[in-house]
Amino acid sequence: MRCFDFHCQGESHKATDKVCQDYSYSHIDEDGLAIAVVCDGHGGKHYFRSDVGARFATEIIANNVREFINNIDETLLVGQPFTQQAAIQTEIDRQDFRKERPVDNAFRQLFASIIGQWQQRIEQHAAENPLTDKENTQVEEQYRKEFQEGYKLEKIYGCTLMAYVSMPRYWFAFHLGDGKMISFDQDAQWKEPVLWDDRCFLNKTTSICDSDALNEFRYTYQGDGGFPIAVFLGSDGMDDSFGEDTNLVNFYVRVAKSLVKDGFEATFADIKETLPVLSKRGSQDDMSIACVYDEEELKVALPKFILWQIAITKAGILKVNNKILEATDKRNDLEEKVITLEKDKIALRYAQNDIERAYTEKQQLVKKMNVLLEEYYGKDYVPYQDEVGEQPKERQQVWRMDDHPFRVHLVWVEIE
Amino acid sequence: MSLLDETVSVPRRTMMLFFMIDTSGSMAGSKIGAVNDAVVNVLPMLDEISVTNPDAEIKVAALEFSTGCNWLYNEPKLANEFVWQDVQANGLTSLGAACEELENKLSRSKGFMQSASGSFAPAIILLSDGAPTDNFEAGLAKLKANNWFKSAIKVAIAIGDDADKEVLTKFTGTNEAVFTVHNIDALKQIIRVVAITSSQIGSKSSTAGDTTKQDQVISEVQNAVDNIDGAEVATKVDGSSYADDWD
Repeated sequence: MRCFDFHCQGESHKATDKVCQDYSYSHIDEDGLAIAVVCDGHGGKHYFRSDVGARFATEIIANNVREFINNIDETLLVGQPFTQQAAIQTEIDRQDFRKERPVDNAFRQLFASIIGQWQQRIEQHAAENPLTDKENTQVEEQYRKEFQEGYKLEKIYGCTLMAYVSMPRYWFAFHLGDGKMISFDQDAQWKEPVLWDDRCFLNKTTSICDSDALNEFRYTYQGDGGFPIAVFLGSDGMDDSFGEDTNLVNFYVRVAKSLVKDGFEATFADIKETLPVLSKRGSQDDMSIACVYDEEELKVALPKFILWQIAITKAGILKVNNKILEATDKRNDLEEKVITLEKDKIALRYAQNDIERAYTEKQQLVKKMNVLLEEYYGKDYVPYQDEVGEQPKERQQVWRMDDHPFRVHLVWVEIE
Repeated sequence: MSLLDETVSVPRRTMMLFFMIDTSGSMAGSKIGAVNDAVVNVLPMLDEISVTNPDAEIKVAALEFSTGCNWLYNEPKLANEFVWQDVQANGLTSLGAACEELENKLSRSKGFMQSASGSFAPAIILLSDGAPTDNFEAGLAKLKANNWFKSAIKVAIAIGDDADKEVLTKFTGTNEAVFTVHNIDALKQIIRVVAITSSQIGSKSSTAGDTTKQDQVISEVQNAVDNIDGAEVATKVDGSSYADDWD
């Protein structure tokens, strides 16, 4: 097993001179424990020490997990099938209660201990560290007063957390708040090992600073011999940069391939270089990643990772081909009739634009496909082709607008 | 060597701007003309915000409602590609149906929205000069259960004294987000101000502390309204010094 973690300041935090509020940790212990943790301190003025809260949470999780695995009766976990548990709050909402076993009590004690120690630690930190001049000037009076009175301290230090823990005979993971955890199996198939919490939506998240944080932990465990071959933990700065889950997973596949082909050092150097760039191009947020992986299993799964990428690229091309065919049909229908209505002129213009855009998108996907085909089949690969093909060049059509660019007075010009 | 090679996609984040426009019979004439004119003129400005904003691109969708409701296009368009088709006024005020239709599209599986990761909360601008003639409460109840709507920036423009401000307040969740206009120029200006402010604030990653984006929009629009002759926040209606003038 190997691991790595990295966190860095987001682009928007650089612009506002705000520290990085993410924290990450990973380690492989001699007794076979592999652990990865990511904590994401909340943004916003009220959470002006969330960077400290995230660091404390990370350290406390690492310590408590070690204590947990040293003390737990292993039989509670060994032999257990893959089991996902939703947050108690979700179970209450659904009136579907599933946490009735001793192992669930053990996890509840672990989570209670994490929250309790985190609260103690932030109270101690607040007592030892009065507001700095900078904090005094930055914080609104209401929050300053709360801080000085020791009231709602947990809000000031609030963060999300997630952790993956693997032992030789079992593994478990837990999550409170947003960010995404992605795992891969031997067939290079991915999943979110821990159930999502629908209360985490856009910029809203559950948090360790919530009054019912203990009921917001969700977790997963398995002890029947099944292990992920790689698990990636990323703060929401990561998944917000990629939009659709498939794009995020594809990035992790890219990292996994690099770990196999280029080795640990080169890949980790690339991650340190890439994450700030990704923040700038994507979410602008702080970025953090932590990963535990099985080097040998990744090597074996490498071809399957490439095939997965080929499959999703092919699916993307098929989707674009459908757009091309639909827009072409629409354009052809409109071209067959004498267009007098403004509505039809606009529809024709949109159809033409849709065709152009879809062909451009397809070009990019085909380029990607050929890179992947070469990676899988070697230099003798057969470049991708399909019946829809590339954009025909026999006729160019241009809409020229004779008035305001957003008005509908359009002139149709054909260029032979 | 970068991990962000040609096999990795990093799409731009997206913010959706919705116009909900009352096209009932009472809007006929100068009111609907002003709405058409104002939206056409604000689209290039939204495009500029979208193009120059590193955080997100802005897409626009428009829903007109009179007797029933209708999307101008069956998918959201980038601001620079949105060709405005002048809307006509006639019929009743099916705001309840419009709420239900908006709720349909505020979803990923059957609507206009993408993954919440990589999206910003939408901005919704409602314009109306009257009172609903259908079951508004039922439509709004469905809409209010929608997560995208709960997170959205919501602003309403009451066109004239006959607009039901109580209804608009229920829609936005606060009467501070309802702005009343009493003449054509004020209507045109407020549409521009609300659309631009919502887009600028809504499509930014960073927020000013704990102030919600909706609160920021309200604050900025309220400041702008002070300088628009014939416009006012709905909370000040009782003390209004303006009379409707739609000629």
